[in-house]
Amino acid sequence: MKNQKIKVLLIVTLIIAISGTSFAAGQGDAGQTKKETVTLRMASYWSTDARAAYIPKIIEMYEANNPGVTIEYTGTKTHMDDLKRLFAVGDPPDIFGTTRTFYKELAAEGLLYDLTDAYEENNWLDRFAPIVKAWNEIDGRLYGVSGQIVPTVWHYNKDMFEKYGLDTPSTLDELLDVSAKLQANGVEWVLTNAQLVNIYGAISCQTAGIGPVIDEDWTNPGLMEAARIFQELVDSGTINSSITGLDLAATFPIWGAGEVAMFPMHTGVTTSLLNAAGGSFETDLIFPGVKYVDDPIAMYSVSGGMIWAMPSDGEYTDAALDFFEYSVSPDVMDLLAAQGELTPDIRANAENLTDPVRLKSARYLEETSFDSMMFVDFVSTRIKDQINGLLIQVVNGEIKAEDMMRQLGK
Amino acid sequence: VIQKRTTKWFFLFPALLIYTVFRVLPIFASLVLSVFEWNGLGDAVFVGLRNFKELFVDRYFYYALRNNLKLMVFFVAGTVIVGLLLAYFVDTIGRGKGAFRIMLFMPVLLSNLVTGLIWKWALNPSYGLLNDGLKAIGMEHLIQNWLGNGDILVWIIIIMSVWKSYGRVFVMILAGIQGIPEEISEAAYIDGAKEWQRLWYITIPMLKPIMAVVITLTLINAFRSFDIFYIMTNQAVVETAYVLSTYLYKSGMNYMQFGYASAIAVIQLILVMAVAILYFRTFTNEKVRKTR
Repeated sequence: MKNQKIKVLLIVTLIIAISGTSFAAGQGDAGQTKKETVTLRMASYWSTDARAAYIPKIIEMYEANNPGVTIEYTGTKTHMDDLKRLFAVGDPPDIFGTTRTFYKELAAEGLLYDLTDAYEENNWLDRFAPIVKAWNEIDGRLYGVSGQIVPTVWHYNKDMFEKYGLDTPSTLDELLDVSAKLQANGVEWVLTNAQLVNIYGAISCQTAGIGPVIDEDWTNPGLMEAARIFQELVDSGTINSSITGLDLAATFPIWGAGEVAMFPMHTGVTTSLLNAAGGSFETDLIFPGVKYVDDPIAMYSVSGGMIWAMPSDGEYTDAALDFFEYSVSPDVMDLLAAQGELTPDIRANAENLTDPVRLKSARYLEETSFDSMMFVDFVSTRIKDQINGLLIQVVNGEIKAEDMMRQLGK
Repeated sequence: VIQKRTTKWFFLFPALLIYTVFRVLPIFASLVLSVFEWNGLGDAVFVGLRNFKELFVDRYFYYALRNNLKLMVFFVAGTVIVGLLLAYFVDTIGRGKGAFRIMLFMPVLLSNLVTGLIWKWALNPSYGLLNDGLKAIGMEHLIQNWLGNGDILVWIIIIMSVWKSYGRVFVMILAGIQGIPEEISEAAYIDGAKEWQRLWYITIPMLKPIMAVVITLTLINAFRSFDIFYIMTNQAVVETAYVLSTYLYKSGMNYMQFGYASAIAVIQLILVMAVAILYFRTFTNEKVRKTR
């Protein structure tokens, strides 16, 4: 009898709980319809406290002019993993930032909203640098807009160079010579190599261009030559195993301590490097970088950076597109440029750059062709990781660069 | 009787439901997915055993397997030996037992994330404590890039894991030691047995049932180890420091090869099950012998 009572009580509790939940859910739906507001979800791998401090400002400006729209922005370091998960379960954000590699995969699956018409209607191609088209175009269609132009530049410790009476290198021989002199003066770390794949990618830009590499032809003579040059940098101690394989963030304090002579990396890290140095020494840029070969196919490597895109079947496509168009409008581009970003329409807004190091990049980019991109941004993430892992083994002396090419060929 | 049975199932149902949804179904889902190729975006394509075939010629899989085996041997041995010796030491000291117990258990209380960050900081080649310490005592020749070489990093992580886990083993073994009747040890002492002889011939044999549990649990943990490896290696991309779980995660979440990742999960499951079966067999046989 007692058991019977307990059972009845539990069943009644369960029924109340279930009906209560359904009622609450119903109320929620009704509430949302009543307000008639649109909430857009936006996500990227930039956290708002670092590189994308301006994103909340843009959102605030947009929301002020569009009272019916609310934008929820999430910026996390794990964004790319989160984004993949969200696409896998069919619930991607309305606007999101993505790497070029994943962008290509999404486009191949037809999961991206086609922005080709928006490009035409807004004359984006007239305003934006050519790299934006090259970076975002897949089979003649454009599905995204670059958040910024990211050239690979050579940051160097100007004070250190002055102290040892060195000129900045412009050829491979000069680089090896400077490296030898620095090492003789007890400077152990000539180049930081947080992401070796970028250094190898930049060399191969000069030796192979990008065309054949996209087919992942690892016997390509240009790539083999790039491997040989990379090995030369390792053998000369220019790339040093003592700081290989560290997280990028872990290398900033090393730069800040004035222990590294040169840091070849994209302009996305310039602010972090300047902050790390904190004015204790002067950071400058070497233009147009180092000429690894006499007759480079492409001297300068530029990437279209993080791509902003929208899912093809988003719930609020019109609202998302409206915000999207606003976020790349000249007003917003000016705002971003003033924050130190090299925006897609860099030629128009370089005047707004106040930071001298970035201004120097912008001025240089104004006179440069943007058609050179690193092949590492076009191969799959798995291949990119494998190249990086093998390069680390080359630097650690476990394998030779030519073995790396053989292993990649397998 | 029927009523009692119904009530029993009624109370068991929620737990069984949760267990089935979150434990049993994912295992079956992994088994099914392991024979498909799926990038998480488009349709899954049936590929039979291709994922497994590819796995067996994948050098990164072997790196992961090798590191799991290293972990299995050295992490388990290190944790048990350190835990046992410390438990024996703490049991023999007169005063301050409580303080030692708390102090030695402390690393267990730290989250793996915090542990990883502390160690990463300490091992940084430029501003890390370890290299600075070596420099300070004139042992510059030992200075290393502890984080940049996969093979070195695996050993570092094994040491870290031992440091992080010995406390749990220590507490379990200490409880076991305290359960051994004192008369046995006293009798051995009167018979002239030395300290190590008492440890070897009395304490360790009498701890056998606890040791079996401790070793099995540590072995299973060694196979499932993920977070410390993930924190220490993820961004730096040190493939030679993969373990099965980090390679599985990379293959699924970074490379979008969910079928391949599931094949790794299936292999991992088989290995963990083999260890568990070995344990249950040994433990059950022991019990059967005792009851005879």
